Amino acid sequence: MKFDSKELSIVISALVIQLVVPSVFPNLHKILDNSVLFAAPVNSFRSLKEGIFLLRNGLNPYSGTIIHHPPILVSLFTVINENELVTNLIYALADLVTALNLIRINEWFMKQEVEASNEKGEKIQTKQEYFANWIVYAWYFFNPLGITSIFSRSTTVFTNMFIMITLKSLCYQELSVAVMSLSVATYLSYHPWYYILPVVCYIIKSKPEEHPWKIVVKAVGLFVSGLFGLLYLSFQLTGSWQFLTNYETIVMFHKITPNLGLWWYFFTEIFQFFNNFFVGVFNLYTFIFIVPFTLRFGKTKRDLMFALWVSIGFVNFAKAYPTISDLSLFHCLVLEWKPLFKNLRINPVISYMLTYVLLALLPVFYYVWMELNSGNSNFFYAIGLVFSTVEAVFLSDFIWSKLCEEYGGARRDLTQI
Amino acid sequence: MPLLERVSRAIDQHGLIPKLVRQLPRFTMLLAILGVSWLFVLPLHGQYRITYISENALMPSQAYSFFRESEWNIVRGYREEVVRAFEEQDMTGKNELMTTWLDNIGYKVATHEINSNESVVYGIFHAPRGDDTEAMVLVAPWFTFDGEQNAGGVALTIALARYFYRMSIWSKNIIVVFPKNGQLSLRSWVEAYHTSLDKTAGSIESAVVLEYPSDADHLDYIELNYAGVNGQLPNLDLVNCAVFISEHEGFKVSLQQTPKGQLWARDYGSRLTVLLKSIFELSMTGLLKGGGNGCEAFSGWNIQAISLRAKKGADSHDITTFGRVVEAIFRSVNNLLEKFHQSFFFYLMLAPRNFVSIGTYLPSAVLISVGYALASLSAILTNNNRNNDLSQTLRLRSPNIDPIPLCVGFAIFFLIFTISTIFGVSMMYVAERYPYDNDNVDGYRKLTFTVIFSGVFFSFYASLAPSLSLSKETDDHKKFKAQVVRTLNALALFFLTVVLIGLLVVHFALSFTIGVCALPLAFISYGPQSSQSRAKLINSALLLISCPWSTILAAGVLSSVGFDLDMVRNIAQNFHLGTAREIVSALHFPSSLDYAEWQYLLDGPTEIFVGLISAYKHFQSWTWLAICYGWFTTWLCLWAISISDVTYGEEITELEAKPAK
Repeated sequence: MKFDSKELSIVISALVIQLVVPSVFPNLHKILDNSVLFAAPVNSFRSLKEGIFLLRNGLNPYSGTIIHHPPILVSLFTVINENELVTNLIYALADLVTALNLIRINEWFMKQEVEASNEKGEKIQTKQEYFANWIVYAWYFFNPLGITSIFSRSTTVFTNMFIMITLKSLCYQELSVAVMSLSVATYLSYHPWYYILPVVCYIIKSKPEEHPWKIVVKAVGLFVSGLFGLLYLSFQLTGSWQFLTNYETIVMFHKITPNLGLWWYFFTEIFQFFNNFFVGVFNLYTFIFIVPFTLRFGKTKRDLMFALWVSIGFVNFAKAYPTISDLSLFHCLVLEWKPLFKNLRINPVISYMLTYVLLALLPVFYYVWMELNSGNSNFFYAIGLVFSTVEAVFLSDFIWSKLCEEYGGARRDLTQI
Repeated sequence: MPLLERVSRAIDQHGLIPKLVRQLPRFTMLLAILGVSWLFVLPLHGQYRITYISENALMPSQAYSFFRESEWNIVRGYREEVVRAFEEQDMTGKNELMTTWLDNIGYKVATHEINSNESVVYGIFHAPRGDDTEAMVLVAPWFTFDGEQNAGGVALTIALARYFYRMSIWSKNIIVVFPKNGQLSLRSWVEAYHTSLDKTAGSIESAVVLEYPSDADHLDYIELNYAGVNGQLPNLDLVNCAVFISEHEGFKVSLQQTPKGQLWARDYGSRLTVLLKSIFELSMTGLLKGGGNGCEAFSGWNIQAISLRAKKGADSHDITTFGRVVEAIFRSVNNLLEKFHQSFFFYLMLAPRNFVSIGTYLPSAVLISVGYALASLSAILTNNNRNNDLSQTLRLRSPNIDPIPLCVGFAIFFLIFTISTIFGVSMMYVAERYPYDNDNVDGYRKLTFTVIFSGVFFSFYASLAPSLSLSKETDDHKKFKAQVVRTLNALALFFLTVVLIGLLVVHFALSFTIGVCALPLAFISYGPQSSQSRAKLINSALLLISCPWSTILAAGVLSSVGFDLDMVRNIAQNFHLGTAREIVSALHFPSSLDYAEWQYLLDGPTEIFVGLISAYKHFQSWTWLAICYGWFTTWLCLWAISISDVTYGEEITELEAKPAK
């Protein structure tokens, strides 16, 4: 990996921030971890620590209902032994790996652009349509979403890392690595298995010489065996299959806690006997859009990358326990779609203004509800709903822009703001 | 959807958006005017609502009150003793006296030691019928808000305590508290009650602070205060209860210190006055006179607190009537089965029986905040650059900012943010280190006026600033500078938008006040320093008006001359030269140029400033933080913009560049 001076200075300053700030403010992660925006039961560092405690005292962490982290992660952090510096280092490292993979993806997109214009016989406008690497680095490292999720020590950071590795490996034809890291991501937080569909389609696209069904069998086989390997290892570590309740919690939405998403309010209001039905409906809803995305944007590899990105955004919007760290993965990839910016109906500047205003409002409304007691859950949910709407509009705007591009690159003059 | 599509196409065809972009500053102005005038609409007939009791269990004044003639002599007896205690005893003696009395009645008495020379006596009466988990608090500070001896209040409270003890109806514990004052002493007790005191009586549901600084038998009307710190208000049900009960007993109720003559008024002017005064009071809670009215002391612990201040007069209401008001409030709260939750927590009162709820008044501050967001957009769309020809439509498709100037702009913003953070924290440290007493008052006066005059100086520096540009700037350098300034401008205004919107729901009054006072910041432009002295002067004026310290100066001077909005209402409603002269003469303007005469005028701003920097320590009030981080940061950024020398216009170069392609 080669860095120029700008990239290097950004990476080093980001690492310094990530290592120094948590050491100077050792309570920072506790404060952030206490906020529902950063911590869901399935990814909070606090509950991970609980798991470490139970494991160290010879108790099965999964016999209760507090720990929802996969056993390998808990064991890894048990080895670290709550050493602050090493913990910070691990998170910084995970972030760095994610960033490096993001840069590789960016380079791949640039290369694609050059190839595409070569094919069309146009003169090469290198890198005009994409952002320079250092901008992508800066966008990733200094984005408040990313920084705060590192500071909150959300375990989604690791899921994000593995998904990013999947994307990068797909770009560079390291197909088995892609599938394997997707299975690790799935092991860590269940939802990433949804992306197997676009990933398999991508593999089919990139190996036109092989028969599609053969690829499907191979890829899914590799994915499933990787996943089972990890699950079996977890079984060996904990001595029982009880840790599978983690995934049950995510699927069945056992822990109804307020968060950024749309599920919790619905399930606090609904009658108990409808519960199972709607859990099914919501899960189906979260998954089902992956299929049309993959089918519609399945022509080229770049399209499939778009389908994957849109799927990530949609799952963030529709899943049970979304947090800021999930958003961070989606938004750090936005820059890869610079060619689509010109057809957006709502300028990204405005979308981001709205996003950040709403992100500032969410904790305020939570505070009014929980601390002051002058508001109630409706306040927080209402603002969360607006936030989700903004995210959904942001996403669908990109889909619109993509369709415009396919239609012939029609440029609308609406985009002047 | 097809309709929206048609609309968007129509906008497209006529090129409306590029045309409108240049008008964005006017939209900001328009929104601000709309936002302010929204408040002026609220007191119109049909826009506000009439109060009602939402929680059925409260049933105010439904039970017969027995605090009548039989208690007369008891109140008088206690009062005589209290008056004597004021004459003869120091605080320790008074506390001892109170301890004996409460002990004799049968209360569980305890003392909270604030420090070596101050303590608070309180007594607990465990409810005969309750589960001992909830409590109601009755507070009688020894000295009132204005520093007067609260003889009537203390005597009435101890008589009520004695009377309550004989009743068997209580299902919530009763706590009576006798702090030295209703501000810091009471706050200290409330904090200790929730953290360190041994003898407690469960969670406090409601608190009533009683003040009647007189030893007279009769009283005239009741002043009701309800504003808490950080925009917190007691549930409207409690306020309503107090109003219903007081009026039921025949008292007139005054909100926001409405003078007696206005208590019968039911017109637009009086409602507007109460509304504006309540917004002002809410945004200043915890700052004035060591922290206000007694309710502030209970803020932050989910306690519904009101304070009742009886006003002396020759009217026929005797002091037991005031006692019956308290009794009925306590009996209402006693009826509650759940916490207060039915009625509004966010409201503004217009009259004792008129209010507007959050949904109705919020749009005014929302409009102002959106105005700032538009100003930020306008800044990023190059409207503030005086080098551009603003009479023409924006020619650029989207005016780009190169990444490096963008990052530099962000960096400068964070630098300025850090500077104002350091300033704010150091001021808070000063307030923590040096108490505001006779020894330090002069130092504080100097500090305040240094801050204020530095604000004035900085503002004028903006129009006098020399052209700092080094002899030869390349075009690239100029472009770079213009983009940095543009980023900083947009970012600063956006930051203020976020702060205002964040405060909106929690603390409407503060958000609104900052929004209005800082509005001139949205119109600051930048350009070459070498020419356009008129634009630079305008910048200076805008900076001066919008500086937080000028607002403090203005508010302080107004408060020290005894300005009251009711005077304006009076002049406006019955304009008559005689009245106007009379009212103006009521203001305490200094009569000569003697320094001693002017000194009290200077004390107003000093008191507000000291209140601001110490309010976080005393009441956990965020007002200073909001001003320092939000308003002052933005002000500094815009000051930096107005002194920067920008000689590059975005569009001009774009147009020139075109033929070259």
